[in-house]
Amino acid sequence: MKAVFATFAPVFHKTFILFFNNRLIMRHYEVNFIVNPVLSGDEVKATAENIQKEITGAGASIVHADEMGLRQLAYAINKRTTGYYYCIEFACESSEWLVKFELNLKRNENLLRFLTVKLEKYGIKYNDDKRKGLIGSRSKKKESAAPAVVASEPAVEAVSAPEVVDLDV
Amino acid sequence: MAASREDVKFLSNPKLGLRGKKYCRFRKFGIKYIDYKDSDFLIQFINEQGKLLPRRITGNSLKYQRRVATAVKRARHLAILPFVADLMK
Repeated sequence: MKAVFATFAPVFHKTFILFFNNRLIMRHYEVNFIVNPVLSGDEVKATAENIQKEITGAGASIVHADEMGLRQLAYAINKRTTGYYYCIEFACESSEWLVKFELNLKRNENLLRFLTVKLEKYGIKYNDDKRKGLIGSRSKKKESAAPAVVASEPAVEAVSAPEVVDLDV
Repeated sequence: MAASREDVKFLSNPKLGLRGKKYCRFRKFGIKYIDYKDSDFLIQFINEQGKLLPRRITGNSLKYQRRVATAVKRARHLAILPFVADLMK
């Protein structure tokens, strides 16, 4: 049994390496951070750019940088009730620099909060679909269609209303 | 003059015990990833105090209940959802 395994071991090893090279060696991460709203617009952008530079400087490639803008926080952080949300997805081969990267985020006084998350394959697909507009489109269409119908109905009423008034008079 | 059978039948609400079976919406609709930034979606799994609802009520399978829990916890950390709230919904 051992001998059989030994003969096939190199084959397994090769397929394993192939699999990892193709699929798993590029790990996708997502870093979210909230920038202090007290800073001026330029400073907010500068802090976000510095973080992006740090990511690219470590050999990772930025897949997408999403600026969600000024948002209301669900609870106060450091007596602030709003914050600039950013979400950056990046892909990298090694993860050792992330410890240092997170430490730098922790030391960054312009940030209220941050969160780094590793994306699984469905997460990568979800983000990809979201950028293409495949996700959430159905509900958005419904929302956009519903006011249109409502808007058209009063218009019809507005046209017909004067006639009714004329008849009454 | 005994009451006809139909009268007897409607003395109690016939639809009383016929609530549909609970199901895991992630399994049923093929949702594989739970976005922790989507507060409108996650709000379905918490009560009005901001607490996680049990599986008993949402019907989630264990696998996805765990993922919902981590997603809600991440959202709380990023101040997308509150840790404690009153009359959230």
